[in-house]
This record gives sequence, C-alpha cells and structure tokens, in this order.
Amino acid sequence: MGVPEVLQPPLSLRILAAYRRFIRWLTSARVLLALILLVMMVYLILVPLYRMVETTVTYQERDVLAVPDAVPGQLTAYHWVRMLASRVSRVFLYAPLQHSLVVATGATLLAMFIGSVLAWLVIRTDMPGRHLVNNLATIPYIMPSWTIAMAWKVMFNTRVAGGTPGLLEYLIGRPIPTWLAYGPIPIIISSALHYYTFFFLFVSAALMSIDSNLEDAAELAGASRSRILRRITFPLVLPALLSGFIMTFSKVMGTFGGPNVLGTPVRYYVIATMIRSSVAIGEFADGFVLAIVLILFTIVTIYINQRLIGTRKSYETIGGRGFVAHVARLGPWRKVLAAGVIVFQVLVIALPLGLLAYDTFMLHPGNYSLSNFTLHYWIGKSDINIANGTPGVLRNPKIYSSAWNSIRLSLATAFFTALLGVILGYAIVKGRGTRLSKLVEQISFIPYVIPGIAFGAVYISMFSKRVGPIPPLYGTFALLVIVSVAKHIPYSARSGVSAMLQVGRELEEAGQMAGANLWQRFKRIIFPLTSAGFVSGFLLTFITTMRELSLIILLVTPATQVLSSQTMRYTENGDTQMANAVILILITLVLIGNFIIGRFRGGSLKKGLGM
Amino acid sequence: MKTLVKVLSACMLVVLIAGCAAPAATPTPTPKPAPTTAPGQPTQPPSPTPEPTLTPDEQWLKAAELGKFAPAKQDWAAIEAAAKKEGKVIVYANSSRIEKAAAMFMEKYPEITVEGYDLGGDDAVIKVREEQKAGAYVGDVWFSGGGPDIFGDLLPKGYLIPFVPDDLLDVIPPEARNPLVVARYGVRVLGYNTELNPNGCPITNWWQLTEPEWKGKVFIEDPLTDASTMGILTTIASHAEELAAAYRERYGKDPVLDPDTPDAGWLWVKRFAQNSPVPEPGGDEVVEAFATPGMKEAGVGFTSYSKYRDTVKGKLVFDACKGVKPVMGVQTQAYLAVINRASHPNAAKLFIRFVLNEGFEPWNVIGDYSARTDVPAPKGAIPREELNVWTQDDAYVYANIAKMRDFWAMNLLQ
Repeated sequence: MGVPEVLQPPLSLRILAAYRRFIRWLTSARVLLALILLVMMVYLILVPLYRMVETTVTYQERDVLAVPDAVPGQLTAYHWVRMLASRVSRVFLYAPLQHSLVVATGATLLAMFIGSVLAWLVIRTDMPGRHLVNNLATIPYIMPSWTIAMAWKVMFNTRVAGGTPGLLEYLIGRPIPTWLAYGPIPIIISSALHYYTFFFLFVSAALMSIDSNLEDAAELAGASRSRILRRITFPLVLPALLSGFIMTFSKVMGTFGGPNVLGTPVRYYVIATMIRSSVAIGEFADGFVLAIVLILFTIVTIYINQRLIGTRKSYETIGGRGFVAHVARLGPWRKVLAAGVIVFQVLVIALPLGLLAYDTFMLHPGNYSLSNFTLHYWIGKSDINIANGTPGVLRNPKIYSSAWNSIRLSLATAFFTALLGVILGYAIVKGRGTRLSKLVEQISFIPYVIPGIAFGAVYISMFSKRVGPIPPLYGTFALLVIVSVAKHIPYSARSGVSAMLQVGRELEEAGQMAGANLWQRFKRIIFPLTSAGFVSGFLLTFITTMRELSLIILLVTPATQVLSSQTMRYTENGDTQMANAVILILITLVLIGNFIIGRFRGGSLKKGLGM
Repeated sequence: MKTLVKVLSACMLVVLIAGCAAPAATPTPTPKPAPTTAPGQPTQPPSPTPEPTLTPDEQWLKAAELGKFAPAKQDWAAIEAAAKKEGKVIVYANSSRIEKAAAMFMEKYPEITVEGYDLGGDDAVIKVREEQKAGAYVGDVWFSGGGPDIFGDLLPKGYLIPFVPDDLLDVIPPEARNPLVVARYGVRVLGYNTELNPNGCPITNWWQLTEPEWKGKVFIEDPLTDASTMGILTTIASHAEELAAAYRERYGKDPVLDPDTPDAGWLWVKRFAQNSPVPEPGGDEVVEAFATPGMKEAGVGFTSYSKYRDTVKGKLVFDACKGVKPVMGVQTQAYLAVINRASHPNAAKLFIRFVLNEGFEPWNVIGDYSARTDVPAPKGAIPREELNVWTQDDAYVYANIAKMRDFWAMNLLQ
C-alpha cells in the first residue's frame, strides 16, 4: 500500500488498538447479548442438530440389513441418496413435500386473511363486541390441532373413509364430494382455522403501536383510503405479517395431527407423516434426512423474510413523540359485521368443543338417547364395569397432580421463553444486518423443525451426566423446562423481533446519554415498550407447552406427569370419554391462564404506550 | 465497571469455546454387550469360577444374580427381603393398565413403591436405548411389546436381561419364555360387520381382499405411521406357503410371482396394497369404519380383537372372521424382562413374578391372552385353543420391516 513507513505505528500499538476495538465491540450490549445467546443456543440447539446430521451421514446398525457390507458408524451418503434419488424418493420425499407445500401455503394465506381482518376490526374500528372477538380469537389455537379436523370429519364424513355419514350428508340427503371431506382442501381450511391466532396476535400488536398521525398526515396530503392502507398501514404491519407467515407456514409444514385425520384415508400424505413413519419403525436416519429437508426449506423462507424487511422496511413506530390511535367508523354495517364475525368464531370453537363435551356425557359413544347420559366420566366413583374401574376425572388425584405439573411447566417455560424473546429480539434487531445477528436469528429457527421426539432422545444423553458446569438433570423437572424453552426459541425470537422492530433507537440512545446502564435501559425503556411482545410470546408458549406431548414423553417421570400424557393414556386404553374430559380440563386451564394474562397485557400495554 | 465487563467478556469467551467443544466431549459410552444367557434357561447354574476381572455390567449381573450368575434355584424369600430393602421399582410399560397393576402390587407389598410409566411400545424402545447408551440406568422392568427392536437391538446389546420365575416353568411353555418371557398376547384379526352380515364373515379367503369387489373397502390402521401394523404385514409376508395354499384353494392354480415378489407372501401384500385399502389414523377409526351400528353398507378391516369388548357392550357390531383361510389373524407379544444395570433388581424380579400371577388381572379381558397354559381366556372371548392365528416372528420382522415399508408405500402410492 502507499502508506509511508514513518506513519505506520509500531506493531504493539496496532495490536493494542485492535484489542481495544475488539473489547469495545465485545462490550456493546447487543454483541455481548448475542454472544451469550449464541453460546446457549449452540448447546441447546446445535448439539441436537449435529447429532441429527451425524445420524444421516453414517451407517446405522440396522442398515446392515439393507446394505450387507455396511459398517455401522462409517461415513456414507446412503440415506441421502435413498431419500433424494432412489426409486422410493418419490413416495417418501417428493410427493409428500409437494403436498406439504400446497397445504402450508394455502393454510397460511387463509390464516393471514382471517387473522389480519379480525385484528384490524378489533384494534382499529368501532365494531361492537371487540373485546369478545379479541378473547375468542385465541381459543382455536388453544384447542389441540386435531380437534378441528375431527369436527370436520364429523360434519363432512363420506363413505370413502367408512363409518356413518357426516352430519351434512344426513341433513342435505346427498353424498358430500370426496374433495370436500378429505384431502388438501379440508386440511388447508382446518389448519387455517387453527393457526389464524398467530396472525391475529402479531398484527394486532403491530396495529396497536402504529401512530395514527402517520395515517392522518397521508390523509391531509390527499391520499385515498386504499392508498393509505397500501402505502402506510400495510408496510408498517409487514414485519408482523411476515412473522406470522413464517410461524404459520413452518408450523403447518411440521404438523402431523390434521393431515393424519383428513389426509390418511385418501392416502394424501405430507412430509411430517413420513418423518413420523420413519421414526416409528426405527429408521431415524431416513426420518432425519426428511427433517433436514424441512429445516432447509424454513431457512430459505427466513432468508427471504430477511431480504424483505432486513434493510429497507424496518420501521420504528414507537417514537419519543405523542401517540394517537384513531378508529375507523364502520357506519351502519358495524352490527351486521360484528354478528357475522362472532358467529364465525363461535362456530369454529363451539363445534369441536361441543363434540368433545357431548362425548364425555355419553356412557357409550355414538348412542345419543337420553338414557345413555352420564356424569360418570367426570364425577363417577370407580366402577369395574366402566373404563376398567378408573374413577371420573374430577375424582382422580392423578389428574390434579398432572394439572398442577402442566401449569407449573407451562408457566416456567412461558416465562423463560418470553424473557429470552425480548433479549433475542434486542440482540437481533439492534444488530440487524450484521453477520452475528443473522446467525443468531437463523439458529433460533432450527428447533421448529427438529421432531420433538428426536429432541427428547438427544437430551437424555446430553443431560444424564455432568458436563462442565451443567449438573446431570435427567429425570428432573428442570430438564423439562429446559427442553421446552429450547423448543420454543423460535416463538420467542419471532415475537421478540417483531416487538423490538418498532422501538425507536433514539429512546434507548437518550437513556444511554442520561447515563443509564444496560440493565436500567432494559428495565425502564425497552421492556415496558415491548411488553406486548413479551406477553404474546408468553401466551403462545404457555398454550403450546400445555399441549406438548412428544417433546417431553421421553423425559417425564410419574412424578412429573402432565395432563397431555394423561390423555394419551386414556386414548390408548379406549377410554375416549375420559381422554376428552381431560382435554376439556386442559382447554379450561389454558382459557383461565389466557384470561389472566390478557388482563395483565391490557394494563401493561396501556402503560407502555403512555395512554 | 469497565474492568468488570472485560473480565466478564473474557469469561464468556472461555464458555463459548467450552460450549463449542461440548458436543465432542459429551460422553456416549457404548456399554459392552453383556454376555447373554442361553435362551430360555434362566435356571442355568452359575459359572463356578467367575473371571477375576468383571466388567461393570458383569459385576451388576453377579450382584443381581442374573444372566450367567443366576443361581440353580431362585430363593424367593431372599428376593422378597432384598426387594423390600430396595423399596422401589420403576416399570417401563406400553399399557395404561400398568397403574392398576402397580396399585395392586403396592397393596400386597406396601414397602415397595412402583413407578409405572406408560410409554407406548415405540417410545419405550427409544427410552431404554438412549438411557443405556448414555449410562443413565433408571428403569428396572421392561413390560412392553416392541418385539422386533427387542430381538434386533435391545437383547443382543444386553440392554434387557431375561428373567423367568422358576416356579412358573411348568405352566409357561418354552416358546413363551424363549428368550424373554411373554407377559401377554394381543391379537389382530380380520373383522366384519355382524349387523349387515348375519350369516357370518363375507370373506372366506384372504385373496378375496385383493379382488376388485373389495377395492377400497378394506380398512387398516395406517401401516406407515403405526409400526405394529407394519410388523403385522411383515409377519403375513413371512407365511408364503400358507398363502400359496390359500391361493390354490381359491383359484385352483399356483400363484404367478412378479419380479419384485420372492414368494406368495409378498405377492399377497403387493396385491392387497394395490387394491386401495383405506388407511385410518388410529385403531378406533378402523373398527368404527366398518362396524358402527346402523350402517347401510360396510367393508371389512384388520383390527384388534380387544374391540370385541365393545361388541359385548353393544357399542359395536364387530366380530372376527373365524373361518377365514389361511388364518383369522396375527398375534403379537408383550414381554417382561429386567433392564440392564437396574438399581432395584430384586424388586424387578418380584414385580415380574407378580404380573405373571395375580397381577395379570388388569389384562385378563377379551382380546388379551395370558402366556400361561393354566389361565383360560376370559368369558365371551374365543378360547385359546380355537384361536387360529400366526405368531409374530420378531426376528423376521426386525430384518424385513424397513424393506416392507418401502414395498408397501411403493405399491400403495404408485
């Protein structure tokens, strides 16, 4: 280079300067936090992922059966070739993947429409009954994903899948076409009705924080209503929409329940079914190849997401100025609209729940006569002729201890996940564009697509012995919390990022100049402003953890038994009424939690927005 | 303050490096396969001169008096006393009725606490395998199906140790305790709708299920997601000769094999898969699909015989196709064994003996059969001797189940 030698400072000084620069970089809050998170995620996420990848590229013991000269543990491309380019690839990978993409795209678009419209109606209009709509909107997600699919089956069943015809065929007296009863269309609709909650929560949080002054300014400048929507409102909720898109899309891609009920009878298989199929017969390597293909698809989606909002479209809407929120007047339509929305929501909720509840009151399922009505499955004493002598669920002390465990686990997981979400959001958003931030964001997505059972299996070996400062945790309640938090990192990252994206940089900088340290800035500025994100992260995690089964089944002990594993016990035993009763208890508990958290959310949000 | 941050950041770096190194450092010791006993001979005398250096697995075997260290005669008074001292037993099971059995056991032996986990067969296999690989020896008793994995993996590796109470040797036939003792048999049968077929099963020969008349009318729990159903299909494929004989009986000629079907067993599975059977997401859905009361027309289905309990109660109109050729169904087994390096081996022995005696009561219902010759089937069930079924060959299923899954999926979906 053309630098004269005399100007070159001595080497020691240059090293010192580089060292200082490094320390300054390292001690900036976002970098420090990002590094701490990275370490944590390396252990909690990358180790399981590494084990998965390792499994796919080595011969497993049972491969000897298919490949006679295979040496277990030896490196091989066998599983990848088998899944990607052999005669079975089409039935195990390409056709199911295509189905998954169709279902996930369709369900996500439909969910986006429902969720956004509802969010707009609740937050930005004078529609009556908004509180009710708001409260009802989270319930479909609270119900296990297959309940809506089951209700669909009861409504639309056709002769193809055997059994008695559905309610609709009974009413109209004509057979229902198969495409409406089974296959992609019903899977898309039932998944969208289940997952629209994601969009609703994110979009309403975003809409709440948009200052109407922005829209007013546009209106003053002469913009039409649709132009304001397109050019102001839509770009501002875009991060929330994309968060919802990714969550819903990857969730539907990975979901097994709905497609199992509505796809299996017409042999419409999705990739989640095939992963489960491989794992069920012990072909973990094949299953993990499929899971990694899913992970790659998700990473591509995240990449597109980052390209879309990463550089250009990041808007800070919570500024240091005053805040105004106007509501749109719906005029004479408001009551009709309100009635329509509420009827729709109630149908989506009441039908599945009603069927479940109705079932628990029947001594023998399918017999609708009054003499068959019973409260036995709820409050009956042990009777050897019914359900092998299991007492009614409300008399069973096991149910109470499981319920308590479920609540404990969900609250602990939700708290840590939401806290982690705010920190993750801070580290990712403040460092947006840097490689470190991208890395953290991408890793944070991986748990989504690691099958729950694989997570559990790897955690047994990771936590059964002391590793460095980590004590052996296998068999403890703490490990259940850790694995649940790890699995929910994608949720926390998403809600954290979309909340944090809206907090103006100047607010924190002002605090910094006034001499506030990181903790004070977090406590006094960041946290209050992102409490909506914190609470929605908390809520989502609370709900999902209550229902989680495959993730923790390998790690629970009788002492840490949870409600969801109780339903499995009853189902396997053929006591569907009791299983349904437990599901109803579970839903009730989540509803109560939802209600309490909702109170908290309203209060803190208003405070956060200075209202 | 600044220095504190510097020190902290240095610490973080160290942790970061340690964190990265952790995956490699995570211990995954593979226990050496314990020496297995000769199958079915738990009463084998102990080797007179134990080797001077024993592996940890062998030391445990010796202390627990299991495997090659099993005494000539089991001393049940001593076992019971030791079990009470151990005070606890942890059971990995695949049936929710384990809770009932646990309660009964604790009533009889109040000194011993039973922790019964109902894991379901597949998860029980994964749990034991991962615990043993990681050296986390938690479970004491294996009480579950999962036969193919047991014979292909858990038993050869010494993760499960055979144990048969010697006072029951007379009533448990050798095939039911070789190499592990069978806790109970479950039966999967071809069933039909009795309401619409008052004269009996419309199917008399399994090859009818491959004919156009029954296209799309045979229901089966989805073999792709239910490993036990895939195991049943594999077992069926292993009975080539019987299926060839049934073919001759129906069509009067020998079956013509395809290039991809080595014998009539695999040919039947292929033709069956190509005849659009309807996979159902669960066992309840299968039986509801063809045997719900009040249907106008109905197919047939492969279902668990335990559903006959609901027929007795009037909830279903299902019965097994008793006279069908070649057999009415396939039976699978749930086994009892001591888990390697169990902390409570004596309590485990006591629990195994209990389940083979009065502790069998929760399973003594229609659809389950005891392995003991002196325990008759419950009232209303098909008597044991009239049960014309194939027994699952767990070793064959282990060797062929993956191949069968490919074969099934290719023929079903192409």
